[in-house]
Amino acid sequence: MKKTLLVSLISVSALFGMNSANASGALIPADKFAQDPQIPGKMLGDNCSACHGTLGRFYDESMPPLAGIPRDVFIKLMQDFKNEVRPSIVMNHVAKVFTDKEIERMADYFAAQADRPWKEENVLEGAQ
Amino acid sequence: MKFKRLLIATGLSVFAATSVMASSVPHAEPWTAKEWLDAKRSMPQGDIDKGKLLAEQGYCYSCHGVEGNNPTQSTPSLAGQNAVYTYKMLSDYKSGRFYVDHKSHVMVHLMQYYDQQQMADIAAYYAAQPLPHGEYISKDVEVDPTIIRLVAKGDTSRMIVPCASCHGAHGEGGMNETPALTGMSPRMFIRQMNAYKDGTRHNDVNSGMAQFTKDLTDEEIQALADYYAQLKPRGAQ
Amino acid sequence: MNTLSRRELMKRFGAAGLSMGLFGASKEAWSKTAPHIVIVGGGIGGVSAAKYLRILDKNVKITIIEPNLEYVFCPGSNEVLNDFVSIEDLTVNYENIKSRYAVNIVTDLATDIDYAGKRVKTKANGFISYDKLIVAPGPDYKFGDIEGYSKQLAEGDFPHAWKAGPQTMKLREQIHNMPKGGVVAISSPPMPYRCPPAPYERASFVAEWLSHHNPTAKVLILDSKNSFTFRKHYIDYWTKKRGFGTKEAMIEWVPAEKGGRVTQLDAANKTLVTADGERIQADVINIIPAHTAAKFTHDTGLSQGNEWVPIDPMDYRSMVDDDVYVVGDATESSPMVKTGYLASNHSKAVAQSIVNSFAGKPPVQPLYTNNCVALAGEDYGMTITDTFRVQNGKIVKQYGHQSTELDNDALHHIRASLAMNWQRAFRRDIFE
Ligand SMILES: Cc1cc2nc3c(=O)[nH]c(=O)nc-3n(C[C@H](O)[C@H](O)[C@H](O)COP(=O)(O)OP(=O)(O)OC[C@H]3O[C@@H](n4cnc5c(N)ncnc54)[C@H](O)[C@@H]3O)c2cc1C
Ligand code: HEC
Ligand code: HEC
Ligand code: HEC
Repeated sequence: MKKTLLVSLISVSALFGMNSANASGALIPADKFAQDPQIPGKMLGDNCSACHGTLGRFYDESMPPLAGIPRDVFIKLMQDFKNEVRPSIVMNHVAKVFTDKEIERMADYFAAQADRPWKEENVLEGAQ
Repeated sequence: MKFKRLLIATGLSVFAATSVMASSVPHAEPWTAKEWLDAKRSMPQGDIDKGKLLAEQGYCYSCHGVEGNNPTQSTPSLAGQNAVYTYKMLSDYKSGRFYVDHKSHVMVHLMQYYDQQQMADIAAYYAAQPLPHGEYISKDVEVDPTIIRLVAKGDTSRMIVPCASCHGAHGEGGMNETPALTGMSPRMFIRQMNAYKDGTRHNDVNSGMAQFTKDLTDEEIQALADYYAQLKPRGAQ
Repeated sequence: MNTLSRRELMKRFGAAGLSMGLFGASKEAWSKTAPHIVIVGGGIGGVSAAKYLRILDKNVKITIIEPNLEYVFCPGSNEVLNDFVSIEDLTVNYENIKSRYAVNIVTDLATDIDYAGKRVKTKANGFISYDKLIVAPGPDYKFGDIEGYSKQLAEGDFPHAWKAGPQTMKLREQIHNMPKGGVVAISSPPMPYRCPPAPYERASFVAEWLSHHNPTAKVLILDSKNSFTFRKHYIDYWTKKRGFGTKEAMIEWVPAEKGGRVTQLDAANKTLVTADGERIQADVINIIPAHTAAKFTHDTGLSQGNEWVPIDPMDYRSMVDDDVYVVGDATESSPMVKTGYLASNHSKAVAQSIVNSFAGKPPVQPLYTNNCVALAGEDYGMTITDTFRVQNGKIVKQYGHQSTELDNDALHHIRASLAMNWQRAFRRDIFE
């Protein structure tokens, strides 16, 4: 039942291709979502892969890899982007949406990734 | 039909760096000693304050870190760099003399919008910042004594002049365009050394730097990178 | 299994397709131990799902059903029109996904779903059983919305080129061979369609080529909308580089309110007819048709009679069956737009949810970002940074930023480099 109701709600807003809750796209501060269930570091961090590579392990381009960046350095970088201390081409707008806790979870996630290009990974290692 | 032919080619070309954009890089012959001497003489006096503004507004912080100090390995730090070297590099990007691969595109394209005065201002600004403190590798990395010897004494059997004789005992940079290497990101260091070695970097006047890289092994380059990354500026803790 | 919605489905589409009896014996021969995840569609969404599933779980069985041997990326395909990018750079096959990620590739068309028997019907390979099914077939095109246009014409002399491949090459050839001073007419569709800025990106790259090779030619954009993404940037660039707004303009844009909506194609006379009844003849006609979800989703009832497939935004589970997920362009995801970036991110949520469900855990709280780049020229890039969260089962747009700076040529050029880097990085994130 709940699902069906949802569908009709969505379709109305779809008609206009915009969301009534935030039509302008202005920033809703991340803290407004602080009560929601936690988004794990992996879910957050995997959103970055189109630019920074799978698991942040892309070393080939002008987009820096994220894998292996020490936790505190990562947090500092993201906070600098978020607070516009480091004027940036895109990262300020990417970083703005996260809570401090989310930045920390991403920091843990990327610090734990092997500091090697993804293409060298043996993906199937350990498979039965 | 071009497309038919493509369907047969089953290589993973999708992963290859696109070649097309290289065509948008200007071409210039390598420096002759005289040309560079003239260029260096005509380098304008840089203005630090103007340079700071240019660096902020030009989005240099975006990739090179706040005040040119980038705490990761991905893009080079610019803080504390010898102004002549920075000026030369910016000019070399603009002319296309420095173009290693697609990773150089951003700088080549960007510099098309800067003139000599602005480059000199930016160079002066970065030169006025303290050298980075090498945050890239763990503090207690063991430096191989043979590498310290190579840096300080060179290797006569391979005609390698001591790195320190040009780049300084503390890696602080030397005469003319000789850059500081202190606290340099190992990944960048290795990229540059390999580019000198395989000839893709040839903006150094008379192969003044490249000649010392030809006989170095991968292991030595790695060890030199670690050495310079952990090196502290003179007087620093 | 969501029995309620399945019952609904039966009511709507009849029980025929769902009764076991109608389906013959399954041809598949998987062992029964490892769960089998079947993916319909080997595009951006489908392949992302396979790869990110494999990263999470080394032991599940994964199969992709895809009729084509190669996939040609749409991002970058407008740049093929002026040879800034070659189609080789955008073309990939499934070898790497097969060998490196142990994904079984079935070269075939999926035609139906037997929900009760948990099997997908294929055109040539019979039935394939699944434990979880991911449907990622992209969009289909509503040729019928423009009288006189058809799939046959699109595959012939009137390519839409809204799926990169032979049609892209055909359009390129037509533009390159156009008579001096000719006209290229682009019909831009109503929302929603995939990659909202792409028709204008296309017009820009066509003009870029013409400016070098056919400088008196013109590009006419006939729009079914009154505005478009990055309008300020495009108009700025066209004004500076293409004489936009002057008599000599190389690009002209006609919004719907000024009579831009195309309603008819008179193929024999190479003429478009607009809603106002105006007839416009052109040398090259590129109609980008209105979209709907892929036929497969309508045939199988997944779309529940809608244009787009309703999903639960928590994990892109379909509304009709809990073991079936739908991702990418085919879904009703508004206020998200339809992009590859998002298709890929839908799939990451699906991968996580599937792995969780095998472990008896609920899906994790998702995040969907759309951090896309577009080009107005080789030296002019733009960025979009959209973030979507899910609250109370609804998609909330937390942030939607489009780069705004106009008078900073150096910045535009850096963003153009960024766009090219993004295209490469993105292709590798999905297929490497
Ligand atoms: C010109 C252009 C430029 C674009 N630029 C960008 C950009 O810069 N950035 C961006 O993020 N997005 C861009 N896009 C959008 C992007 O290409 C799509 O959003 C993306 O491809 C959607 O992925 P998908 O998996 O839903 O569909 P697709 O990638 O279209 O994949 C669907 C696949 O399913 C297969 N299929 C369909 N039916 C069946 C069936 N019955 N059985 C088996 N297989 C089936 C198809 O053959 C196809 O391979 C662009 C699009 C266009 C047209
Ligand atoms: C659209 C492409 C894009 C996306 C998506 C993106 N980034 Fe970035 N990122 C960049 C670019 C380009 C830079 C270089 C700085 C700049 O230009 O903003 C960068 C720089 C960074 C840096 C600094 C690294 C260094 O070595 O200096 C960090 C940290 C970072 N990004 C984290 C992230 C995280 C975390 C995400 C996902 C939430 C993300 N990025 C998503 C493009 C992107
Ligand atoms: C989008 C990222 C990006 C931006 C923005 C950027 N750079 Fe760079 N820069 C790089 C990269 C990457 C390199 C290394 C290129 C190579 O090795 O080919 C580099 C190299 C350099 C170098 C050479 C350093 C050395 O030690 O060899 C200088 C100097 C430099 N940049 C200055 C600048 C200035 C000044 C600006 C602003 C006006 C700027 N950069 C903006 C990415 C960037
Ligand atoms: C004869 C003087 C000389 C000697 C000896 C020398 N160098 Fe250099 N080096 C230079 C000069 C000059 C440059 C700048 C060249 C240019 O314009 O590209 C340079 C550039 C470099 C760079 C590039 C820095 C950057 O930011 O991109 C590295 C790395 C480097 N040298 C390392 C070394 C090492 C390691 C040694 C010892 C094995 C060494 N050099 C020996 C003069 C020297």
